[in-house]
Amino acid sequence: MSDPRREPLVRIRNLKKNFGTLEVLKGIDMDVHEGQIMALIGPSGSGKSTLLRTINQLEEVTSGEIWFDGTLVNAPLSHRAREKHLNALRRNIGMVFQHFNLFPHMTALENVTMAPVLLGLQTKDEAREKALRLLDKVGLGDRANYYPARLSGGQKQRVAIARALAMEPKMMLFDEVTSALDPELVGEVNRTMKQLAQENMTMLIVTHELKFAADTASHVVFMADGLIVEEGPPQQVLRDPVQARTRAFLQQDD
Amino acid sequence: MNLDFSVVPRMTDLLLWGVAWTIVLSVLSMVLSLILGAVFAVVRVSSIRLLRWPVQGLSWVFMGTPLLLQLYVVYFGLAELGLNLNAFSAGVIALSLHFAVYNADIIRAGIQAIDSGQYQAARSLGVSHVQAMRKVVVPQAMANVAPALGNMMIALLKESALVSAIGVMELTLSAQRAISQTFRPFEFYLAAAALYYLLNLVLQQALRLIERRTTLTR
Amino acid sequence: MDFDLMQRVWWFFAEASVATIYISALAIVLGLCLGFTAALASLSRLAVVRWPARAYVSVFRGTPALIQLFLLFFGGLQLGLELTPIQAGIIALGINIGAYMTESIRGAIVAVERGQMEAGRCLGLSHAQTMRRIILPQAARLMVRPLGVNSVALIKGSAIVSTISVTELTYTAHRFISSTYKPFEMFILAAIFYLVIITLFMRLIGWIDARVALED
Ligand SMILES: Nc1ncnc2c1ncn2[C@@H]1O[C@H](COP(=O)(O)OP(=O)(O)OP(=O)(O)O)[C@@H](O)[C@H]1O
Ligand SMILES: [Mg+2]
Repeated sequence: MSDPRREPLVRIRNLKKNFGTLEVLKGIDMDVHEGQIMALIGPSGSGKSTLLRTINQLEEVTSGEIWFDGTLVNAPLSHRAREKHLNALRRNIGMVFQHFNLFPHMTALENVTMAPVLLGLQTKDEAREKALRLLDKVGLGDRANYYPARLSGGQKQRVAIARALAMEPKMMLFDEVTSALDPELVGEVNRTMKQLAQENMTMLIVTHELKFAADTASHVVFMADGLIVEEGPPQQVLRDPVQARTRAFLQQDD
Repeated sequence: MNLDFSVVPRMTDLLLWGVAWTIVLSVLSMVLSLILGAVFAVVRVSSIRLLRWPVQGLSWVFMGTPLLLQLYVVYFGLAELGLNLNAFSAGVIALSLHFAVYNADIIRAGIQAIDSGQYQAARSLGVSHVQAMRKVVVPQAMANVAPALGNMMIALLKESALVSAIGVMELTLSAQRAISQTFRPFEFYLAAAALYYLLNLVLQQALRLIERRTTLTR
Repeated sequence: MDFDLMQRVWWFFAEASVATIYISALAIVLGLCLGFTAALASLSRLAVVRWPARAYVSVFRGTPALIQLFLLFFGGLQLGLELTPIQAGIIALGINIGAYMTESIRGAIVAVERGQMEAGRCLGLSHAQTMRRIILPQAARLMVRPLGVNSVALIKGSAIVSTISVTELTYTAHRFISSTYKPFEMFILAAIFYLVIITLFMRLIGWIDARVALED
């Protein structure tokens, strides 16, 4: 799977992020290697979403460095140059949100094909064919022409995953993608993610589901109060943590 | 360009006179339109059809026609009915009626939006009907309708310019008087616009103060 | 009630309502153009773009439409800008309602969930692309009703052009009141035409609203 000798796909060094006077990230160092499935866990408000969102620059950072695939993500650039740089970056990083953020005025199929066609990455026919394949893969081949309003939460989330995959990203970010779902719909989304994991997609997953993290992740990072407290293989972090803070969190969660 | 703003200060008295009358006219109409609006609102939620229907009809007609047209009919119509009112009174009546109809709509919605559970919760704590209304229901309703009523008052101030069309002496007409003496429409209409803008700012500030007192802390 | 008189003059009101519709329609179109431009400008990242748009809204919503009309028509004449009363009426009304429409359009754009912009940007679309393909189509559905309310206000507000002698409904009513001393009859005639115009217009808005509503 991951080869530690190679350059990591994402390299984060001494990352800090403030919202006004509130320090949310207080110096994060983290590597994500190609093919790695990294689960990010921690109490509410610890900064997990913020960390995820700095990687594709939905949040600007206060200080520190983020490297993606050999380029400095938060390079100081003029506004114009930065926008161009970000558009290019984001094409390579898929993101799936807690609340799906599907485009309500487009069918499932249009949601998936819109960006690749608009950006000239695929022709209409190519995009359509590919989108149908992806929708099939997430189990929604028969829902291609449905509008989001007529899909269940689990189905919406799977369309959102297909939409991100259509850009052929090098990495996927997931921010609590099942926590807005009814319990009976969580499984179908988790299965889709596991399938992706088996295909060696690099994934960074913020989750509250420790069991899913234990089953799926190759690496677990525990965050608290804007810092990484502990990280390692799931069996170590989740079963036999070194830090008292991690133990307290895991106990509380059972 | 043929502009000379030095003529404006020479007419200061006339313009300030206009400002004063615009304030008197507007404030009077605001108060009347709120009182009348509350009355209309109560009538419209009442169960007495004989009262409800005329008010409904009135609001339908007043909401569907221009204020300027209403001004003309009130001004000339009252004379026709033998009520020889001056233009100022006709202006106040028309403005008050016109905005009362809109205020009534807002107040009615405010009354209907109050959760009956709030009243019941108060009563179940052993509070009397009057106290429940005074301490629970009315403050909530006030908080709900205050911003919309405030917008109406702002609209009223601006629309009060229309009464110049029936010869009521206020800011717009005083600007016109100044123009007929100096033949400088641009300068004086611009001055009038600036004065209206200032009045509007003052009113907004006043409304903000009132709103802060009526709205619940969020 | 002098029905005889009403029958004799109603045709003048019918003709005048054509003028009211014509003036209102053109002013609404002008207002929409200005409103869209100013709404997008007011959401710009750049203060030099944002500021004039905000000032436009503040000034034209903060002063009476009647004064704006006089300033354009009489003040314009003084500065050598020779507009016919109808032209001045359409332009003044359009600029005035544009300021209100700016707020309606801006409000609709802002009301589209923040996540939609994020989702678009995450797919690598530019800000402008996301605006055009994702945000505006959704905002369009939200702005139909508020813009309808603005337009109804404009149709009624168009009465002020009677003060510069444009022969529309209110002018006609005023003229006949002065010549016949029958204010109630003339009011009823004008009111009927206004109510018909506004009712039909609201039907149109309802129809547009239903057509653009999201399927669900
Ligand atoms: N845009 C923002 N402005 C101000 N504060 C913010 C903003 N976004 C997040 N925060 C604050 O930053 C802190 C970390 O938030 P973040 O969403 O990253 O936490 P989280 O670990 O994802 O929590 P959760 O598990 O509840 O999603 C919180 O205290 C939050 O209130
Ligand atoms: Mg979060």
